[in-house]
Amino acid sequence: MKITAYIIRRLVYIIPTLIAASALTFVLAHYGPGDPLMELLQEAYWDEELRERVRHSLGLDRPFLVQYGEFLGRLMQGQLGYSILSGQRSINVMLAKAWPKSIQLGLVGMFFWFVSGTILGIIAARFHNRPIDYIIVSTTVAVSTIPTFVLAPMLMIVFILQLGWIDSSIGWEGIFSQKIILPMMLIGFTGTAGLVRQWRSSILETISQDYVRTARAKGLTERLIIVRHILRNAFTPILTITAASLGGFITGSIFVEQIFNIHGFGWLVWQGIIGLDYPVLMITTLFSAAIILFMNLVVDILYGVVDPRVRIGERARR
Amino acid sequence: MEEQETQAEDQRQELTDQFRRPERNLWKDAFTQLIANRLAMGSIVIIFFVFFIAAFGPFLTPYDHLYQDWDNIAQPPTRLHPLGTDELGRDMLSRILAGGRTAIMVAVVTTTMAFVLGVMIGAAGAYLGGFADALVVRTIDFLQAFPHILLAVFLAATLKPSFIRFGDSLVQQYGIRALGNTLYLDYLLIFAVLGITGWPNLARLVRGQVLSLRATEYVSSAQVVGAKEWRIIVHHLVPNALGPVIVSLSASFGGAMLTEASLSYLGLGIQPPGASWGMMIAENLVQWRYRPHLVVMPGMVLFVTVLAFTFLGDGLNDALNPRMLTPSGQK
Repeated sequence: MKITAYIIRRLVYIIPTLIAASALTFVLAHYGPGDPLMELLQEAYWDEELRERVRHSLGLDRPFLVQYGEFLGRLMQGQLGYSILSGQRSINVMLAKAWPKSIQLGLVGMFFWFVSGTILGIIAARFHNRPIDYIIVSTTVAVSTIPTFVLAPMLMIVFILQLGWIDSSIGWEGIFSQKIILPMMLIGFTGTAGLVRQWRSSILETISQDYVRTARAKGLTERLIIVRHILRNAFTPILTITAASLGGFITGSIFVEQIFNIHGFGWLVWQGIIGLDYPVLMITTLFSAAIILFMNLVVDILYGVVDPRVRIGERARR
Repeated sequence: MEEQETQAEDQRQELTDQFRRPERNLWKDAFTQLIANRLAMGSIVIIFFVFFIAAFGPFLTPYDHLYQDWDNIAQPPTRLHPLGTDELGRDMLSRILAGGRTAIMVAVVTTTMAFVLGVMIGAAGAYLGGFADALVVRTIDFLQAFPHILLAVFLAATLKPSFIRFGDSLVQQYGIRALGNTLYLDYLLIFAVLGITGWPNLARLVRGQVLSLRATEYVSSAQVVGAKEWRIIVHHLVPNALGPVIVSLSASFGGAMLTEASLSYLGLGIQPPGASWGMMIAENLVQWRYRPHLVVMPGMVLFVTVLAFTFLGDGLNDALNPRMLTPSGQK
């Protein structure tokens, strides 16, 4: 019961944020570029009367609030509008085609991120303040600092040109092909440093707890202590870093999908950018904000599931 | 009798002198600790170097970054061109130096803007409280709900035509030729976009610092004694909040460079033939298979510079915020 109330309260906060986001994107997309008709068509071919008629038929002569209300209404009904470029294609269709690839790529990337970050974080904590710890922490910081568009060509040069382990990485052939390896690594690398640091500090904090000392005292094996007592309790803060890394995965996918020519969500953003296709940019920006807001909610709810000490109904009362 | 006493006094003085420790304060401690941090010191050297080439780069190279050497197109490093030339015959070294100039200029201007806006808005929220504070917090939350680069991309894409129109109208009305040069407009656009997206982090930090510091006992004591508000600000709030703000500024300096490079890479920032590391990577990425060095060089320079700011930020964080356990790299 409490949890339902909490979710409702959070949604009451998320929905105005999304409406504000839609207003911001709408205002910018409609007034920033200037007259949409001028952008669309060469003015030489248009006389004043024809222009007015087209403007009227597209509803561009109505007051701003009416136009915005209609945009919002269509958005509610799930009609996302039409791309200016690519022959007025429906953005719904474009998104429907793009999503599956991006979700697969994102999940594989997050899997790589989680596994590599966890292993390295545990090693760093196990040997903390020793050279191997410093090496792991500073290397992951370095790798996560490199922008995707710098790391991608470097990895391609190393793995394709120098070592020759991979023939070609360009294109999309599903997640069980060798072409996925570099995109997966690149998506994962964007957040590795954060995860490693979080695991490291979280484990180090848990190790000094009384129950770990008790477990040691009663003679549990080191493996059981690590798996049952330390990792399970150190896991809660990891959820936070997962939510915080989500924005990085989305922006990472723009660069990765552009470089490797994967026609997913990020590629759609890229197409919107190079064509200055404002409807597409508007929808993709809004969508990313919505994903991030909802995933933050999901993570906050998961807190209560993972850690019974966290009673989320109470946190909201602050 | 008296002599004995003075002797004892002298001895005591000698002992205290012997065991007296040098006077300590936060800044001295922080400085000592920063000096001892090898990573941070290396970063400072790199950062000074980048600032140096940004300031004097054009005087150091034999070529203009736009000059095309038609006899040496797409050459690997030679004696004429130490880092080779790109496919238009432009000297890579000159272009990298010019790109450094862009990166540093953007970082300095936008970090200053973010600093001024962030401090003003954050402090205003904390001081005014009530509705104004709620508005500040909601605005920060709202701007941070977007992925950072995506918001910058969207702003840049939508504001760009307005900037171009603005430039055109200036040229037509007043005949100011300089503003017709789209390169200056590109800079203005980037300043605007990064100014808008850069302040929320700092505003949140400043607001939190002001609120928590004003709740401390020493501020309450100062108030009880009757200290005026400006005195509390100058003597208590500013010195105590300065450490975290400096750390955050170092991080946002690198972040601004990264965002500029990303925007230019995506074609929304500095336009050809201007020079930006991000744009140089984008230009040369198509031929990574045949001329990898053209991609690697600007990439490495960008990477090393941003990494230097990250490590410096971490070093400053360790030095200035000894109690804060979380590294600055994560938000």
